Amino acid sequence: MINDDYREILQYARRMMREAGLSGVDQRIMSDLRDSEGPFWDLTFYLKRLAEEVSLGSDVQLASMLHRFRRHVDTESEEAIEGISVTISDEDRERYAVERIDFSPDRELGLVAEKLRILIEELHGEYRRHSDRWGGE
Amino acid sequence: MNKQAVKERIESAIRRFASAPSSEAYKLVPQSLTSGKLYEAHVLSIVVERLSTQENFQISLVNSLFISLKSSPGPVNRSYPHFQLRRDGRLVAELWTDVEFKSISYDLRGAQVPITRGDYHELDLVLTDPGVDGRPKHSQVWLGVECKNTGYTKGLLKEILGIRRELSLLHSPRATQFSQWPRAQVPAEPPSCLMVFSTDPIVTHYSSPGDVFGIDFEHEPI
Repeated sequence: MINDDYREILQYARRMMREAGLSGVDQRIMSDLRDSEGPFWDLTFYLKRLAEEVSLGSDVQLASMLHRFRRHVDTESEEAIEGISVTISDEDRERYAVERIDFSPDRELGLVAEKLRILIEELHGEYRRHSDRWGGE
Repeated sequence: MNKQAVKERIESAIRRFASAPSSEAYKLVPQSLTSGKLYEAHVLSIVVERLSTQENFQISLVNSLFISLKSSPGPVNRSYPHFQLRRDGRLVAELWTDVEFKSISYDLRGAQVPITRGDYHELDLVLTDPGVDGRPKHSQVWLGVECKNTGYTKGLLKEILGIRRELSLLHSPRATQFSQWPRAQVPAEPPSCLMVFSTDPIVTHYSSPGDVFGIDFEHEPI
């Protein structure tokens, strides 16, 4: 693949994000993208940050957090810590119509993050092979 | 690997991300809120671990079996879940999330005047003297932590320098409440510790003012 391909794939990924209702994530990732070193690096940065966003709610990430809490923190009833939640403040409650969000480990998100990481590795491999053969673009 | 195959794999991943059960629940609030809070929880778990293993605090969660974060900052509400920290069985400090502290400038004005919006500032994690109710005074703060799941910018550096200014005055090194973590001494009076955790590796490029004023910057990836 050449620079135009990487550029086109990034534009495609961004369009997919917007169509999936994930414009906020797309914009946040793009605002983190700076000092562009070229279309390949922009694309792989975007995918890496996307994988990080996905993995935050994954079973692996949340299990790791809960494991740390349970290992180092007791509770009054001596029962294990059950989870992590966000209490929505009174003013936000009217806006979002929700009182509390419980973060529960989501295996699907862990799998999606892993798929993205594998894709990034493959893209890097292909880019290295292409650079070795043609001396890069 | 060809362009079309890459597009299909990305599209599949994005569709699965958007339709995951937890994503549906999270869609009730902005994604920036959920990912920011998840990162805050991640950092909180690391802070708790270090306070336990490096400072030998005995740590208890009270008022809930859930680690609880808040969508907006506010004063300490003692009925909210929080952590109690003990040394040799004696309660010495409490760890709160999303709490505003009263600034040093408010204190210097006499602290009897009505408090205004500019007189208090938010910290994502705050370790304070025990028993605080409402907004803790700057002098009651042992440790403040900011968590940034975003690109680190000059604006964020200016923000944390402002927080440092409103917590303490620059001073020759003073002993903190800690033996080693986050630090045993800080060039500040009162000697509170202040930390920034960020997903952005660039955060360490902004650390030089922190060397002078006593702010620790740490790159903590997800």
